Amino acid sequence: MMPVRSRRRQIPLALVLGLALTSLFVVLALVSFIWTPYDVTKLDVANRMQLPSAAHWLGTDNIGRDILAMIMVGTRTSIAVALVAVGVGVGLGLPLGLLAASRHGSLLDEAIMRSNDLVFAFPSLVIAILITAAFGPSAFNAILAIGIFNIPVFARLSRSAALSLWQLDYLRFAQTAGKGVARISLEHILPNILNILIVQMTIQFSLGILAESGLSYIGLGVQPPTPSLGRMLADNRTLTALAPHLTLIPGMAIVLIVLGLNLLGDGLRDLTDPKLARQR
Amino acid sequence: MLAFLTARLLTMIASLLVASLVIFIMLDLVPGDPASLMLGLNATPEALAALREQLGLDGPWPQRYLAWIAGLLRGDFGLSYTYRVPVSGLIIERLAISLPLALYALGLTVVIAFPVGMIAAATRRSWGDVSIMGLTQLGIAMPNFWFAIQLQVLFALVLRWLPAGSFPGWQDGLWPALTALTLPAIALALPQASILARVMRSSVLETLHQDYMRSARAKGLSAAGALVKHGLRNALIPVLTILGLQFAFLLAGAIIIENVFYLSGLGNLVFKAISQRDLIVVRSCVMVLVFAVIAVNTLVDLTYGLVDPRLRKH
Amino acid sequence: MSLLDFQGLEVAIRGQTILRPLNFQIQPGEIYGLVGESGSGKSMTALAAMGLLPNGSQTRGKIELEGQDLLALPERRMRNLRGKALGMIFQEPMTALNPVQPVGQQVAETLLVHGVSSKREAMDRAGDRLERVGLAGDKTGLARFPHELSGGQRQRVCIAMAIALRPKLLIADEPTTALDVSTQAQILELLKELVEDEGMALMLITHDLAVVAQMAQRVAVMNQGEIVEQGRTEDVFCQQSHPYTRRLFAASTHKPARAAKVEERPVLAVEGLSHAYPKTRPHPFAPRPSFQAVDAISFQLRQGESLGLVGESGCGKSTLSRLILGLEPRQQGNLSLDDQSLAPGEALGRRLRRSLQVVFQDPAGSFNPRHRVERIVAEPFHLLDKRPSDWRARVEKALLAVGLSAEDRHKFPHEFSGGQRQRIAIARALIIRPKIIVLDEAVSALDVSIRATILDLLADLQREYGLAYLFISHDLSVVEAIADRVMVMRAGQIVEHGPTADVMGNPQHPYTRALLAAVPRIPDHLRPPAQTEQSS
Repeated sequence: MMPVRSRRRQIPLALVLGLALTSLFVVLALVSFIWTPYDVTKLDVANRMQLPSAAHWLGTDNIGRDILAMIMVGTRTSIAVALVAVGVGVGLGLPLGLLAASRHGSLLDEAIMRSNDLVFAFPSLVIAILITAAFGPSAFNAILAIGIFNIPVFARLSRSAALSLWQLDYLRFAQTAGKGVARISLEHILPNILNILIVQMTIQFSLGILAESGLSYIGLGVQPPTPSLGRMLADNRTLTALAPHLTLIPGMAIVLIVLGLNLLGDGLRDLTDPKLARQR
Repeated sequence: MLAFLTARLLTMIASLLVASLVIFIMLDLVPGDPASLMLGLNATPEALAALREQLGLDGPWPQRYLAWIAGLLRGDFGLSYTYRVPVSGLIIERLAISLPLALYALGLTVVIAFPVGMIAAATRRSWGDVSIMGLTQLGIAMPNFWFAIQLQVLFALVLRWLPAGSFPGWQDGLWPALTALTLPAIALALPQASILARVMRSSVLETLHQDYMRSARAKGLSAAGALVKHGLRNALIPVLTILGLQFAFLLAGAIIIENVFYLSGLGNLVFKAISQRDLIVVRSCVMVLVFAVIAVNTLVDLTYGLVDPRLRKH
Repeated sequence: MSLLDFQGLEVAIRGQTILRPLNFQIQPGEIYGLVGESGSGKSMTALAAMGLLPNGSQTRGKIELEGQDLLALPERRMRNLRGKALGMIFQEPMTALNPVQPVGQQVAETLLVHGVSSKREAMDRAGDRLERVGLAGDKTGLARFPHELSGGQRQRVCIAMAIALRPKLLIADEPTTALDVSTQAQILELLKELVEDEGMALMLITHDLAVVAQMAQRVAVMNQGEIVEQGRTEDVFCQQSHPYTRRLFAASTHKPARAAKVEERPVLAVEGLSHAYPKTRPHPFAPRPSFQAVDAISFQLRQGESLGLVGESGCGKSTLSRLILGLEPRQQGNLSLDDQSLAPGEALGRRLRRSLQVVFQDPAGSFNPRHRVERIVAEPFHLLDKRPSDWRARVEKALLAVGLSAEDRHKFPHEFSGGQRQRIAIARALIIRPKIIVLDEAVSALDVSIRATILDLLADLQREYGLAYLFISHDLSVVEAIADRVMVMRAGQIVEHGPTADVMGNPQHPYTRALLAAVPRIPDHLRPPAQTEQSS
């Protein structure tokens, strides 16, 4: 084996672009906590459906709210929902995956994997339908629905990554050094699968933003008056032919956030896995 | 092969049973009495009791669950609380839009993704490959319902090439029905095709490094010949996995897209049912969706067996 | 005219020189051996002849096949020669075949690609060729998939594919390295027969001098992209005019000087150890069948002793090692360690584990790539109640003991070569002063010259610390070099057990005899005079 690290690695372009886009929206979302150009709850029907101008940089919507302000707060909502949903997925999926891998072939492993398959049969929309039918619509439902869907994603990923590590001799050695399964998982497995976990987290994060917008669009997610990118599309949809910017701008915002996260994920993968990068 | 088949079918039945139990329990938790919902506030206790018995709302939950499953097996999904008609009829009527839409989109996804992914792999790192990959990045980032809105405005309202919405039904022939579904299907398919094309590309590139490709070259095959004869079929294995998962997304996506195009599909039915608290309809719709996903995944598993002889053994 | 003539071949990949000017000729019908350690450039030489060098390679010089320069040929014409005039088989039969295509079709493809026969005829001839290499060539034989065949059978399919059109030259790149000794002997025999029957030449690339000695008429020794010595096999073997050749020979027949004091007291005893694995059910309702991996094994290991355990792949030796190391719960049989007896299912405690350490095969997978050497070597301190306060000094001492420097403790494992990593692994096993070290194929992945130095190190450490070794290997010659006693394992059982000289010199069990007969050896007439005396 030749040393691989010695070669200086280029920073992938995707990483730079992705990082730039992602930070832009994260900053917008953070700024919205302390300042927005207009109050998003303030209606100004006289100035409704305006095109972008000096007063309203991105125009106003069907009831006169400032679109830039709406996007800032909506991005905050979307990021918050997707972030918590990724947290739910990693928080439950990762331990389950590591546990299944450490008991490979046992009944427990089988049970965990079968329940994963079962959750995969419920797309997050279907989970959202079930939860909403039972408890009524809310942003919390969107988080739960997307989060539940994320659990098997991370469980499978961490299991298969951990399984290939369990084949390696240094884990067997750690066992002969008297270390238990939990300690080995933390000390030897987790650090070595962290990079693929982070890449998957950015992917699931971007999928979460897409899913949240879809759920809010059909009314199963974030409820008014909380602004959300999906809701903005639903509110202005019928006016698209009259004022295309009403759906174009929030839609582009979603596209750019998701694009940024995906590029970030790709860039991180190229950075941490030179073998994959060379193939691509 | 027979053992492989039975094992897969048994797994499918088990998954369906567990899924149905999950769905039943979730919706059984909901407070509220469907019978009083149906009869209104001034119903007599006798009428309520009679209706409850008719709807099978009496008895402990395992009994009601078993009655529901037995009904499902007979094709009897129960009576809708609001419409007072058999749920099965409602679902079949709506499924006649949603299922063809999802399948249409699935077909488009495959038809777009396979050649695009292969071309990108074959011309790796060329300008063509780079631009294809850039476009797929955009495709993945687009919410399909937003893309649908833009398509609708452009092709139906501005250019007037295709209908903006509503579904003429299948009775007027295949053509008008397919035209009505074309825009929604494209809106659904392009984002998924972007994902699949990327998977296809990397999967093909992966096979290029395999030892058997070198053996094929040593036999005298050209690089392209080796790719077509040996690479593609092996590359298909991961692509199939993703395709199976995508069907679930397409079906769910179809439900959202219906809303954009004013199609009265399953989505329309289920969202109305949620707001009207018609839980028997919700339950049945969800069961049908989950059934479709599980059935397609089983189908994908079986296809694996055809593609990969190593899996036929067990 | 020679069949294949390398005239000043040079290869560079992305500016890095891989082959310095190479000059050698292969005559029609001869077996030509190309021997060298890893990184010597022998595989690249073969790929250059096939026109299959990796992208970004630059070549200079000529490779003439019957007077035609292959390097000057356009790809289209080169393609016509591959498979037809030049056949090639590779090292790894497990991955060399397309897993989703029946083997018959893969053999027939050679014929079809060159358009020499119809589909029907091609299948018939594929059947003939499969029979020629000793496989079934009937309908069921043709329809089998690679995963239904063993490694040796797959290599036979690869050979059938390569010789389907009776090429003038077959290039075999380490064709038996991934195979067990008895399978290796059969494949080598088959290759020899094919050369005689079909009148083709064979370019045999190997790291194993004994294989070359048995097979080749002429041989070239390669080192770092250069041929250091070439000629008739007898001449090269007996004269060894180049210093590298001498070093290579010395390393491959090296026996470390051992002066171990074996005491009567057993440090490890195993009594009636058995282990069965469940197999997958043939159908969903069938009872689960099981596979007896280890079958009633008993033995003792004494203090300061080296006990060899040899067997072919699948014989159960890795399961046995896992059971002894406590990586798998024991189903049946007692294990006593340090005079303390453990019943089945009873786990090794931390105290007992202190006297038992292990060195594994894979120098790449043996260490957490994110830990520094210091942390890696100190890992066994976990077995003590508390990490000793002078642990850093102890790590340094262990590193020095295995021939590394104290400074190395700050480095990461990827900064070391394969041999150095194995030294780190030994330092790690040594650090808490165990009584026993299990060496599980510990030198199998190493080149002969590095293997020799590691074997010396192990012998020194054994003398110094009075260690007992359980030396598990598929390689009889290595076990012969280091073990006091040897056990031969087959299908979960020990079929023969005794002092090394007795088992190797006078094997009793037919399996041991077959195994020893299959091991390639450098015949006495191919040894330089001094060595011949030593070995007799």
